[in-house]
Amino acid sequence: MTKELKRVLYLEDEPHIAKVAMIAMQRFSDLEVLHCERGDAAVEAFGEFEPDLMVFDIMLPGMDGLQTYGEILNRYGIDRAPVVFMTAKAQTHEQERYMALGALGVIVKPFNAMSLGDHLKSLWASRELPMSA
Amino acid sequence: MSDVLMEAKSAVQEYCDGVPGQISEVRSLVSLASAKPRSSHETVDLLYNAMHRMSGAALCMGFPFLGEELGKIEEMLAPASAPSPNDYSELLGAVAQRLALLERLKSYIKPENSSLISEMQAEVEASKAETGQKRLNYANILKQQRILFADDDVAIRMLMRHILSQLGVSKFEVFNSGQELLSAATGFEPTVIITDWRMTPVNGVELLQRIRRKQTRFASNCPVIFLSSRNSLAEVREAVGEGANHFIVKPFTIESVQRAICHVVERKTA
Repeated sequence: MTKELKRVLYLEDEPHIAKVAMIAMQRFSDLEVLHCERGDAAVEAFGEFEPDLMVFDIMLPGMDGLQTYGEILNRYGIDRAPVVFMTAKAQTHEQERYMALGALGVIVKPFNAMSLGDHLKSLWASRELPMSA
Repeated sequence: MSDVLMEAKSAVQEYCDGVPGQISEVRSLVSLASAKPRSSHETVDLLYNAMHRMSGAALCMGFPFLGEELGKIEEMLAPASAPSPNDYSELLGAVAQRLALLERLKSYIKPENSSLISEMQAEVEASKAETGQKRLNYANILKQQRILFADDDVAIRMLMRHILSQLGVSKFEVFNSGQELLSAATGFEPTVIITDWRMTPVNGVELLQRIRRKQTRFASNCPVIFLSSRNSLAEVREAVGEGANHFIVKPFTIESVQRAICHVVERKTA
């Protein structure tokens, strides 16, 4: 039976967006969330926190969301790990590229605060679908 | 649920408190950059990143109007569309103009205008049948309205356009004077007219007089709502005497516009 989504490593540099997303994930959907503002902090946190899912903003100062994901795979010697990217409307044409990197999904900002947690849970649940097909 | 709403409100309040400062900060950066004979590519890049963050935050905090406007500035500054360094002055001038416009709308950036909060509030209220029914009635009323709006302030026109569309008004058009409203709105039978006071040619009261005296093609009993400042009581009396139906006090909110429209429509059909 599929394990329930519980721990989310969340990478977002904009403090207000992060606050609303944290309310959405923690208070509405009862997820355990570790928030990092920078990619290097997320890489460090990954090992100890052992998230079920990573939710990464794409455009960040310094290491961006994609680079952070790549760095995590390198550092921890894994092929892939469940990740969902968050992106602004302007970057939606890049979605296919994100999916090709192994993302479970792409969430376009502004996200719906009331359903963000459910959305993540359903993306999480879908991660094994290609294998069972 | 209601404590989550309180938490969200406080997060949005904190965001709203910071917006004027953020816009001023970016405006200072733009004016500093404009003063230099050749602005650096780094400055434009810095502005682009700031706009990206601000636009994303505005959208997520429930201010789509602000987010979209900031997004347009972001697009202007995007690496692919930014011109060569020699042309930065023109670009920065255009950015400064748009930012100035947004700065004038900062009084609108408050939690009661956040769609994030109103959506959360709706969730809370949906459990209360009576309030839910009232909300449904309002939504039905608004969906059926055809509204004409006149104001000579481009920022207020932008804001009202956003509010009416957010309220789900089926059809609306905006104009920069009473004259323009009267001449341009052919083929549009308004159910409500909302107008500012001082405009030329044809100010709000003149517009109202012409409608009531059957000097226009609109129904002479078409509800007319005025935008009004708190300190213009004498003008309010004048407009009431001429047959104004309602007033929206500036700075207005989505709720005050919704209340005014629904009030005049309900009274007309009562």
